[in-house]
Order: sequence, then C-alpha cells, then structure tokens
Amino acid sequence: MEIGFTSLAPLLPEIFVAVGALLILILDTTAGKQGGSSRGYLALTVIFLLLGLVGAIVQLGGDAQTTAYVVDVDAFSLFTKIIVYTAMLLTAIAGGGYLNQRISGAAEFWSSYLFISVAMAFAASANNLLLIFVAIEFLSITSYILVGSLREDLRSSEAGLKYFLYGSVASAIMLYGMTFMYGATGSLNLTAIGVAFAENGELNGAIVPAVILVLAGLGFKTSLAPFFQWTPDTYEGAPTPVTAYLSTASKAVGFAVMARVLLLAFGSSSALWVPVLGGLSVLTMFAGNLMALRQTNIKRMLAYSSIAQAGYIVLGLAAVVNTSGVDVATLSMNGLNGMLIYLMGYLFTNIGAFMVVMAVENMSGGSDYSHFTGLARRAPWLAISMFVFLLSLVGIPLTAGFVGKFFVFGATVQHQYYFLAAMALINVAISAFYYMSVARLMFFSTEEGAPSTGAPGIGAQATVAICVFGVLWIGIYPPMIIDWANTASRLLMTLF
Amino acid sequence: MVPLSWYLIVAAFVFCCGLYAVLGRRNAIAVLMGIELMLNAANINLVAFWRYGVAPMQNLDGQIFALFVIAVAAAEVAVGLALVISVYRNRRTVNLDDLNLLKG
Repeated sequence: MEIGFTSLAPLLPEIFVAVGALLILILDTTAGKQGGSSRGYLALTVIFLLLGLVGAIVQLGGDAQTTAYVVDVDAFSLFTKIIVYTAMLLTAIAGGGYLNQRISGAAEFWSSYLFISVAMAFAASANNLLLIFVAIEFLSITSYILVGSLREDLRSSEAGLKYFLYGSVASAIMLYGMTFMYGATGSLNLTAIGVAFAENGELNGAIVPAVILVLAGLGFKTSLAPFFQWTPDTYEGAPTPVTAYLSTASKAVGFAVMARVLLLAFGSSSALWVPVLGGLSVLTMFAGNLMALRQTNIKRMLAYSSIAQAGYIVLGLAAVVNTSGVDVATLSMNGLNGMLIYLMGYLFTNIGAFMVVMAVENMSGGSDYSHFTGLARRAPWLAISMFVFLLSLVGIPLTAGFVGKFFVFGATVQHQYYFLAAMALINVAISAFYYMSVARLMFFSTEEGAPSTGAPGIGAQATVAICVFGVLWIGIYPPMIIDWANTASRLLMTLF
Repeated sequence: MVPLSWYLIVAAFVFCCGLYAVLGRRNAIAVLMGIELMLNAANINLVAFWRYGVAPMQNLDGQIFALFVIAVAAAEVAVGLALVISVYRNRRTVNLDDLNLLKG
C-alpha cells in the first residue's frame, strides 16, 4: 500500500480539524501585539469542528478501511469520532463565551482545543500500539494544559498539576505494559498481537502483566477505581466547559481504546480479563456513588457521579459475548452495543448538566448546592433541563440514561452475571438519593438561594436545549441509535 | 552476549525506582523525575525486545517506538514544568501535600 494523497482521504475530517488548529495559531502570530479576536477564534473552532463532524457523518456510509497502515476507519471508530466531535462542538458553542472571558491566551486555548479533538479521533481509530500511545499522550498532554489554563486561579493550576502527575504516571505504566505486548509477539498491530496470543499458549505468562498494566493506564483515562482520585479534583478545578468534555469525549475515547485493545489483542484470553473488569466495575460504582452522597459542590458531585457511570459502562465491556460459536447477528445485546448506546446518551446528559452548572456559575458566581437552591424560581427552564439530565443520570425510563442502562444491564443478565447486575441495580438506587436531592433543592426548597443576575448566553441556552432534545430523543425513540450501535459493535466483534 | 532477561531485569529495576519516586516523594519535581525513569524503563524494554525478541531486527518497530517515547517524554516534561511553575508562582511551594485547596 502506498501512502499518498488519495490514500489519506479517509482521514480528511481529522486533517480539516488539524488545519483549523494551525490556522488559528498562524492568525495569532500575524495579529500583532494586541492579539486576535477571541470571538473570531471561537467561531473558527466551531466551523472546523463542524467540518470534522460532517466529514465523519459522510464517511458512515463507506466501507471499513485501514489508512496509512495504522488507522482503522470503520463503523466503530466513526461512532466514537462522532461522539467526540459532537461533544467538542456542543462544549465550544455553549462554553466559548465563558472561556473567552477567563482565559488569557485565546488563540493557544482554541488551537489546543482543536488539536485535542484530532488526538481523540486518532486514539479512537488506532489499531497500532504506537499510534494508541502517541494519540493518548497527545490528548492527555493537551488536556493538562487546558485544565490548568486559568493561570490566576489557584484551583485551576492545582487541578492541572494533579491531573498531570496522575495522568503521566498512568500513561507510563500503560506504556510499560505495551512493551510486553510488543516483546511477546514481536508486533505492534493489535490484530497481529491477538493472533499471536491466540496461537501460542506459551505467551500466556506475558498476558497477565500486560493486561493489568494497560488496564491501569486506560482505567485512569476512564476514571475507574482504583485510579479515579484525580477525577473530583480535576473536574472541580478545571474550567467547567473543559470538565464537560473531559467527562464525555475523553472518557468515550478511553472506553473505545479499551474495547479495541481488549477485544482485538486479548480477545482469546477473555476468561482472564472479564473477572478483572467485573471487579473493577463493582468497586468503581460503589466508590463513586458513596463518595457522591456527601458532596456539597455540584461539580464535585457530578465528578463522582461520572466515576459511578464509568462503572456501569465498563459492565458492558465485561459482558461482551464471545463470538466463538455464537452468531453475532442474532444477539440484540452483545454488551459492546450497550456501551456505545450508553456513551452516546451520556454525552448529551453530561454535557447538558455541566452546561447548566456553567450557566448557574455565571449567574450566581459558584457551583455549590446553595447556588442551586430555589433555582426553579430564578431560572425555571434551567431547572427543568437540569431535572431532565438528573433523571437521565439515574436512568428513569424515557430518558437516554435508561436505554443505555437497559442494554448494559441486559447484557450482564444475558450472560448470567447476576451478581454484577444486582450490584449495578443497588448502585442505581443509591445514586437516586443524591441526584434527587439536587432536584429537591432546585424545586422544593423554601430557603432563599444565592442571589443571581443576568441570564445564560444564547449559546448555552441552545446547547442545553439540544442536549434535552438528545436525551429525550434517545429515550423515547431509540431504534435508530440502537441500529447504529449494533452495526458498530458487530464490526469490532467479528474482528476477534 | 548479554541475554534478554538481563535487560528486562534492569528495566524492571529502573521502573520500580521510578514508581518509588512517584509514590514516595512529595516534591512535584521529584515525582516528575520518577515519571521520566518509568518512561525510560519502557524504552530499555522496547529496544531490548527489538534486538533479542521473537523477531529480532526484522523491522524497526521497537526502535521507532522508543524514539517516539523519547519525543513524547520531552513534550510531557515541558508541559509538566510549566504547570509546576504556574503553581509555584501562585503558592510559593511545589510540595504536593500543600496543594490541598481541592479535596473531599
């Protein structure tokens, strides 16, 4: 295969976005001492992300193909890429104004923002250990910068440093695990590694350390227990829009890479990692939910909630049906499609929730529970939207959260992991307490909340409306998203 | 010839030293040095596996990977030091125990 201009065509969406990022940097160097208009950079960011999203949607119709040896453009990676671009786009539209008021270098920020989108798109579609490592590092290093981008804010720089230290340790550990995968099989390609592991039983000794080390690195990205300690600090200290994409896009990419590595490279030894994932999942759910109960800051509560949600999502991966002997096409719940549906629903739910938090922060100056007290009287639509997102986080029927949970838990029951399913249901019950206590504060509290001024910007309003629509649409009429997730998951499952 | 296992043992030792620095030291710079050691342990592994592994020297995968890791490590240190400096300017300390604004 030649690498030329035509063979790079499947990468066009990423190329667009990367060009946009470079364009912003060039515009800034030519803008002189004043610096360019931060609104202009925001507009460019939105335009190029839109180009990327449209490009990815156009590619959906095409066949699966491998570009430049290492990038798989197929239904599974496109699903993840669309999650990534949608999340980044919604966050930029809603949070752009908020960020531009606070950050000092708008050009650097928005160009890093576009570069992160590229990195996530590559991580989601990499089929090679080298590209996975480089893309994840690219994504993480740029995220460290964005988390710490409010230089004057003590919390932001502290959050950035903590995220950096945890993150780079995790990726060093993951890299060490990858070296064993390479050493045992002599290849960096995930499929080739999978074949070598399946054919040669002697290599089993290398699988255990490799799985554990790689899971430690990816578990950090997806904030699974016991690697979640950075999550609440980082989510609380980072600018809220950055938190919104960290909790959705970055997490979705972590799960996509995890699914690809586990299924393609370690597919033959699933008996080994399924119990590990199940255990991690139970630990994560309990840790997230129990810690969330005692929070008084909404961003921190949502951070612990996102840890708990990661626990539910990883159940889908633990309950992946082994394709040997089973016709994949006949299964409606293969675990992996549950994970994808969950991630798509979670995208709208969590971005929406964080954008409401951001709007309240803008209006009342903080994100403690006291700022949400009596929100229904001050900003009824925000309160109602927040209520929809909270319902979806609990998993009440007719919301996206329910459909995701239904498919994930359904897959565990189908696999007769009754213990895991029971633990998950107990956790859903626990989580209802703290989600609903926020709803109670917003609607039924008679206390006077923090005073607020102004109204959320038009971008934030539009994004919250889109997110409410997305949550209800997936919740009420899910067939389209289910079909789509089925196609994506089958593709990956026929590969191993 | 030095057998493969010796390289792996050295790498494991370096990795453990790095992990010890990361977990045991409270100074952000020392932790950063620990992370560097861990990345370099991976590099030793990669090059050793490339030279003596299952398919020795058939292609350049291992070496290229090691080169990429070196580049990534440099980028990581640059960003890491920038974050440490930004914390130091605000707080006049880089001791991790003193960074306790965010907790709970």
